[in-house]
Amino acid sequence: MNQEFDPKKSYLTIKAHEKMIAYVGFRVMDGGTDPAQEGVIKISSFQRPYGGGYYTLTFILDTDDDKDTKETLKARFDSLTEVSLKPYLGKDMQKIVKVSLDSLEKIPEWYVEEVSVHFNKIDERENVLIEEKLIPALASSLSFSFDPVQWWPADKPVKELEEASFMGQISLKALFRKWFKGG
Amino acid sequence: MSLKVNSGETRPGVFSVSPIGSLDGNTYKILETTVDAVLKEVPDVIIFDLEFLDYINSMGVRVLLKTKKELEKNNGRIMFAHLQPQIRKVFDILNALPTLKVFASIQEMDQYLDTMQKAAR
Repeated sequence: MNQEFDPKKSYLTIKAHEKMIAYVGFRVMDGGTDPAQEGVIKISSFQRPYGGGYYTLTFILDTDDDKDTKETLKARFDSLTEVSLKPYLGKDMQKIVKVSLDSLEKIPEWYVEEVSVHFNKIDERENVLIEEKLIPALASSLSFSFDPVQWWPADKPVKELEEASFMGQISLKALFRKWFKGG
Repeated sequence: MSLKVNSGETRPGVFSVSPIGSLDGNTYKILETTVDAVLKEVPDVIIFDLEFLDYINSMGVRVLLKTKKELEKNNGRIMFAHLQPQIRKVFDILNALPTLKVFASIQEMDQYLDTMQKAAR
């Protein structure tokens, strides 16, 4: 008997098991002095045993349910590519994977986008990679103005989350295969 | 839309915070000020009763994240009651509060806290 695949349920399960390491607020600048929109990013990390891994950035932006605002934000995220990030992140960056969550769950007041940035090496370099490379790269590519990164307490009990995270990331690969290959 | 915030200590070390109205870029400071005052009491638990919260934007989410971060410094916990469906959706997708406790009602939460207190004795 085939079990029906529920992408929304699978996705939310994966999100629940992400290892959150930080969050950061930001403003969308449109050329003027006042921000057009504000938002917050949840930053999660997944580290592979060999030292490589990736950061998943879940952007949520206020839109006041304005269609034009959502279209503008979509265009900005469309412009975020490996080519646009490479000058800032160099050869350490492997690839980026973007998922617009609006297709999964409609929330009128928000625009939600997930961007995972893969690196050859992330161990013991989180602060440098995120604060000195990734955030400036995003600021330049997206024309966002960022607040200081708020690091999540490092000493919190995360054993359960870490174990679940490992399983979750395996599922994520399968999930993407299903989404993009129509399985 | 405006925001009013009620707060108080419901039992030793357990504080409730109840925002009423819309939590957005114009009003988040009202909640932040209340929460900062509660955090000074070094609470064991802060319960956000969101029954009358109509809307939350990213600034509101940031206040909740900051609260959880500050609580964890002293092994405190953040809990939620009466999460409205539209706000629940945001929490589900963001899942920025991975270990949060959500209760359908104050009664359910009271039962949980009673059980926790009995277990601690």
